[in-house]
Amino acid sequence: MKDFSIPILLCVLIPFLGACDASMGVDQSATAVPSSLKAFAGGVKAVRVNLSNDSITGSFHSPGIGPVPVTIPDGYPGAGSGAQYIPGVAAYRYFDPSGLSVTQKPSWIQDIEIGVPTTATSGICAGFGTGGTRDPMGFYRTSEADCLGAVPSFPNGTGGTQDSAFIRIILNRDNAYLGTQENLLLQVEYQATGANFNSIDTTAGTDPEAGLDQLWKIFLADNLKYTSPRSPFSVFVPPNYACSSTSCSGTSGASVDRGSPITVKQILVPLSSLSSRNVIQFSRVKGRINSGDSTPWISDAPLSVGVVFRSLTLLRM
Amino acid sequence: MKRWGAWMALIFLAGCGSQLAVESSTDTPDPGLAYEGATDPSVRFLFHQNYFTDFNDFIDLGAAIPAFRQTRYQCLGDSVRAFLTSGADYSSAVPDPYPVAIASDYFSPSTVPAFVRAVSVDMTRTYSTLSNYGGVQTDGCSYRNAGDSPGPSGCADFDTLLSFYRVQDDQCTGQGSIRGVDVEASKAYVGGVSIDLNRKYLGSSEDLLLMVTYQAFVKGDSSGLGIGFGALEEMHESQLEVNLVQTSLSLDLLLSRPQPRVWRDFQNSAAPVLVRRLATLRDPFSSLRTEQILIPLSSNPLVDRIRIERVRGSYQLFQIDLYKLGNRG
Repeated sequence: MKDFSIPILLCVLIPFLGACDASMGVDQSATAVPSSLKAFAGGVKAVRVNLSNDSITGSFHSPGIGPVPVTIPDGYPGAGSGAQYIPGVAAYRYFDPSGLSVTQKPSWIQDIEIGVPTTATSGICAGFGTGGTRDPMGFYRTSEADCLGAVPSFPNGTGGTQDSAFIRIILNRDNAYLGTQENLLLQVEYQATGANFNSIDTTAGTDPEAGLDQLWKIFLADNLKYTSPRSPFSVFVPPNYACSSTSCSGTSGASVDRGSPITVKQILVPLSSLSSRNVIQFSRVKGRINSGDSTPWISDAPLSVGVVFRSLTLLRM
Repeated sequence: MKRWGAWMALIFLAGCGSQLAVESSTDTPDPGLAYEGATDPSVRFLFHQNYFTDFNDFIDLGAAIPAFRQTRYQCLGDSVRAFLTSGADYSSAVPDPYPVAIASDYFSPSTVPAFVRAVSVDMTRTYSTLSNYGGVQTDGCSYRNAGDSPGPSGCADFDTLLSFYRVQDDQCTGQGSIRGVDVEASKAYVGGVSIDLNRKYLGSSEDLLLMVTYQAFVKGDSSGLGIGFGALEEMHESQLEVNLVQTSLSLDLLLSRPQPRVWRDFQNSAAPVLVRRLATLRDPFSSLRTEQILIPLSSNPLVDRIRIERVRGSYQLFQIDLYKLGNRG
């Protein structure tokens, strides 16, 4: 019931922008689905992007210039008073789930973007790996030492359009492409390495996130790429799957270089309960430097403290 | 809240008063779906002291205006506030709750989608033996006068630092559901969570997605624990398991059962476990995390409770989200 209101209001106010096509509210309770809406749509069921700028196997180009904020067009949510959003680098090459065969971008995806806030090839917080010992070549990654040491400081994320380090999936919720009863399984292949395995820092007040070396969350939002309202859906990192500090590894050197094993995590996004959501965004929310940690805060070293993303597969269910 | 439906529902329901509140509703007559949020396909529960009844709500220290969150059954560990999944999460001081029956009364229970009847946690600090707490009103919902039952304990309670629900294993000796002299066994099976469902408002082919945001504590993990968590270092790796249960209890009975509630439910043939160990939650990394568990309700129409059982160890619970996964029949 309640999910009708915003889309209907948008239909009335800005029909010319076509904002209504993908987000008409659908009562997702146990009642029957109106016959005019498809419970399950046809078309390609799964697609993958390799989160790399490799010229053959990657899905992304390195940006030629840094991101340029774009003014949100009038009529869209968040527009007015010169409000801007920061576009990501959009995937240009899609693969089948094997990751080997190039395929077309399916109709139910508008874009998949990643946040690359600068074109520098080294010493950056979020960008493509440079091929160093602790920085796998070409993969999209965050290096916390470079985030936290950045001048000016690298901004914390909120899941919104102003974030700098993110993976943003923009769906086309047109019922012709995604049915009302369909859900989406995300399969993320990544490495998350911390200086610690992360715990509550009880010396930092009542914030349960205060002690985290790095925090990534998944956010959901409505209304194309310009949206400002967003809501946290899930914690993504932690856990860190390896600890590079000698305080928890007991040795120096090896664990700092090795980092986390490559891990695949499944995330089910219950689109059938979320009729108006068309943006799924992984955002780096924040990090921290703990002066008590030994060794791991090294530039260009996401396998010391950071996240390396390798691939993202989307499967309709 | 900023939606047509919300305002129309409020107008429509202006005379309904507390009939909409979770604690005051009953299974019959059918409350239907005629209140704001009733048909919402998802809901968020934050396991913070502010949103559950806990011991402190029942201590009458002579305050002129008691600001207590209580249900009419004077029980501990019941959820009195549910939240929108489109709002903030556990980390926010201002999450977005469902409306309360009387908007100005923050301490009234909020509404909740119709497919959820109640959410509660096991509580072991159920009464006080101190004379200056003579005003405690929870006796009717505790085992104070029940023979050889163990006394109150800090095993399962809302912690005093972060204010989220925490089970502290070293406080659980004798508090578990298994009686006997084995210390480890006597700690087990207390400190869990019960999510009671109303299957009437779930489609026969509809499953649920359960999302649990928690932190387990692991023996030997001392990183960042700091003051107040030292005792946890000596504990075993925590293990939780998810079971699907048939209770067939009315909402009134659910809310009036004494705490810790697991004592009566554990291995009770009247509340059989229909799907045992659907999933286990273990975290050798001892970090804040969110886990997803698919709840295959469509496989059995008799399941009316999702039970997260603590098998052993210590953990802190921040948030549980439930999403319908579509009526796929």
